Amino acid sequence: MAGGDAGPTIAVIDDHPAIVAGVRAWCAASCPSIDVVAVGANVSAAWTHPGADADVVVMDLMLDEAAPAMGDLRRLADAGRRVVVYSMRTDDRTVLSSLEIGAYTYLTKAEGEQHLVAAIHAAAADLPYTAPNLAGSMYADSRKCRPRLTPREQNALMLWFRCESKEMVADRMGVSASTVNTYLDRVRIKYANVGRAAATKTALLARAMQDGLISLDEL
Amino acid sequence: MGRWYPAAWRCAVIVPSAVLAPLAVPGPATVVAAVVVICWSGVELTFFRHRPEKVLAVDVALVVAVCLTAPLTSSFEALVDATSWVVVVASITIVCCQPYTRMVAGTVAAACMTSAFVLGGWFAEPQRAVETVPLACWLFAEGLLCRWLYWLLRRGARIADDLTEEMSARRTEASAAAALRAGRREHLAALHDTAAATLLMVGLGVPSRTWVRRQAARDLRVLRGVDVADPSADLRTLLAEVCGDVAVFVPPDGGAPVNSGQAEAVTGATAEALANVARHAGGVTARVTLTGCARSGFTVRIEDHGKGFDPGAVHEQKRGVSESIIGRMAAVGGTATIQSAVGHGTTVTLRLPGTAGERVEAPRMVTGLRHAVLGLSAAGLFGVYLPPLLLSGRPSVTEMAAFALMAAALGAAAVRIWRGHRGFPWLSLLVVLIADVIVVVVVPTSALIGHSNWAYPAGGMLGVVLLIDRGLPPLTGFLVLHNVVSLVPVFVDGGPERAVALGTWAIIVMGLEIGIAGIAIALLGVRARAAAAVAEQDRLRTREVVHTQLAADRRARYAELAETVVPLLGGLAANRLDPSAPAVRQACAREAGRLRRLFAEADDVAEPLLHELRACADVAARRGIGVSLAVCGTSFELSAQERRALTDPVLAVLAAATGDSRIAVTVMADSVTVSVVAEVPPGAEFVMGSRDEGWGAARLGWRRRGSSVWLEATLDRPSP
Repeated sequence: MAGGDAGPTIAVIDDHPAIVAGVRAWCAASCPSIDVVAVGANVSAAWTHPGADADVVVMDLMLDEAAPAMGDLRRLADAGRRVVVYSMRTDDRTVLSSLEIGAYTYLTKAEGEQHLVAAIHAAAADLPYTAPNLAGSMYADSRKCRPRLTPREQNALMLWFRCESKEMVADRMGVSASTVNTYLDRVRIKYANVGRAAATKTALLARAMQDGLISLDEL
Repeated sequence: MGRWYPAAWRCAVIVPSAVLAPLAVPGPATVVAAVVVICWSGVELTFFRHRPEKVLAVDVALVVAVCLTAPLTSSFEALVDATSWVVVVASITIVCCQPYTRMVAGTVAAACMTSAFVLGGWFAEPQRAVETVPLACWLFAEGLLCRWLYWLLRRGARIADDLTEEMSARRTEASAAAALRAGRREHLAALHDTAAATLLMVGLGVPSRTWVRRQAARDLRVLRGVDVADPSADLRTLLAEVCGDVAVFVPPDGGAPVNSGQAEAVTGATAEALANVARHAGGVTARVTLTGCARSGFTVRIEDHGKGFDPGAVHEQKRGVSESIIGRMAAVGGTATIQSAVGHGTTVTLRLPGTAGERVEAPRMVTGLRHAVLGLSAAGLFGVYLPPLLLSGRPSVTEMAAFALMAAALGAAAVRIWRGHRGFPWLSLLVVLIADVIVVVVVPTSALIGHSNWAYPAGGMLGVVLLIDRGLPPLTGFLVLHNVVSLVPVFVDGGPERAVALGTWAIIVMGLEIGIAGIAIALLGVRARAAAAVAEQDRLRTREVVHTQLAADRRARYAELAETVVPLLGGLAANRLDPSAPAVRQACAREAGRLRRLFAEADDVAEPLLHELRACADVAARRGIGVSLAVCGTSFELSAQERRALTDPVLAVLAAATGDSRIAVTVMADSVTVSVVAEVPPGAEFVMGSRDEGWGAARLGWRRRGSSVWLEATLDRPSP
């Protein structure tokens, strides 16, 4: 567990060298710095030393195959690994199924530069992180199993998806930026509480209750 | 087919045989009969057009009379042998009355005439009367076969007419649609080269004021030019104009006539290629070469020795090359290829198709006639000539070999028709002539006059089958050769006393063959004229449809641009607007984006809204502004007008943007929202353009925070 001054360690699973290089550069520049301990074109790099000990796994879903690697994602989540999905795919179904399976968060490749580092830090601390595209998918979610959201929470999701600026969302909603964050985090926790159980989801929930973000009654 | 052709044909056959009749059997009875028949033929030709039924009735009565009086005007041998004028008159009348009568009447008439023929034989030689029966049967069968032939012909003609009508309708539809597409493309390509390019340049802030003024004036002319050019033009002069003093033009030796569409495409594509040379090649002079002729097609090469580029690296959203050059040439059936490599210059090759490949449609109706004549030949060869030949005990092995050759030629003709071979039937014709020669050499002269000579009628008919669709000269040539080979040796050998019988017999045989050939040739003429008329009609109809729609289309587009692009260009052309003023540059950037979106609207894609938003983003990207596009929600359908209501505000904001921007599309069950967040420095407010209030039903909301502007356009969708 990353606690002290040393930043979290990550394993990067991506078959595209340019992406890996970009992730390395962002991680090196982050503070506290993130240590990329393993890199691989397939998911085995996250199961073997040194990747097996990484705090967070950053993973592309399209690993040389036609279909997204949902099975690999499921196995990692079931083993309690914190996975940040970082993918080209932007369709709502893939995004929401990844969460359902137990991914910590979902980032599209276009969101990497602004959100990847923050998402890794959040995941390492078992904190929720919602980038705009994920918010859009949650907002457009029309499945039966979707959690019950308040109108303010829905509004926050929608505005965050559209403008990618917490300050502007706060402006629009007439609240502070930290309240916007609270809305987004609560939505994420509600998502963790529905559907199949996963070790990662439990960790998220536990941390949220510990921090007083959400109470048992609200779930 | 003229209704009187068969009557004329009948007279043409009967008159010479009647003239020969008194020579064969001299005597007053023959002369009187011949004169009556000849006179009646004159009357028939005069009145047939007006009262064909009555004339035919008299015809049949006259033939019955001629048959019954045969003992007075002909020898019995000639009757049996088919060398009598009575046989000529009877057979041609039986054949010719078929097209004018119904089934029952025609059959009864044929039966009456054949019975009269047998009866005439009985009057002449009661004991040998039975000998006339085989020929009588053939005459009757010939009548029925001809009836079948006419039926086929009429049916074929009907089918052909239906097909022609249907094809013509489809052709009009297809060519109108193609021409419309081509016309739209052409107009869009013209806009791309002119207005869109100028506005983009002003938006970028590159050009000088005089350049802008000149370009804007030219663009307005193009925009207003709704006229459709003259029908044909000469590429030589047009390309010389396009090249002007910016490129070296190498003209061909002769003229280069093309139609107006092709001229527009080639000059437009050449102008675009030259503009690319000026923009990218780095100060070199291009060379434009025109080669080819109208038949083989024309080729234009635009070469430069400039910097060149990597064709694989061209962004797919860049429309210059694909639309203005390749699309334009494809729209008029031509091709364009672009060869380039970094450091080795660029060669653009434009090709127009020639006229050599065009072909006149094959005449269908003649095929029907051909089938009928083939059937007639086969029935004659195997049904009429073969049994008596086998029964006579005469044939040698050589004669049977000749018969086999003739049968083989018939089979080959059938295969040709079946497979649709189009080559000239040299081999088959040669085989027929060889069979002719064998028969003349091995069969005794006495058996070569009249019905016992199978080769002469069978060979002639085969010639007709093989050459029926080749026009008159080859058929005449073959028939002359065939007659010379078959008849001259018999005539020389038989002496003058057999000449009349030979002549009469030749008239019977040739009468049928020439008659059929005449019908075929007449049909070919009618078909060609009809096809030409249909083609001309098609052309006119298509042109009218295209003109109307294209004009309406362009008027609509002009009206659309009249409120936005036209005033802007007008201001620039008249020097009223300063192209370096930020507001003007921003307006130009916005309108360039609108035009770019207009081109995107013409594309056929699955998600048009996203496609058009990408087009808007592309124009911004050319100004160095990164735009990301995010979508949430499921697929949706919007009209072009609704899409514009959503994309117009985006264009306005992007035109004012100075930094990276985000476009987000949210699709809900009851609404679609396009949101754009962009860096727009305070003070450089964005201008919505002249249609602020006209954005359909889209609700707009926007706010600013620091240097960021956030605008949302929402369109409510009625719930289904």
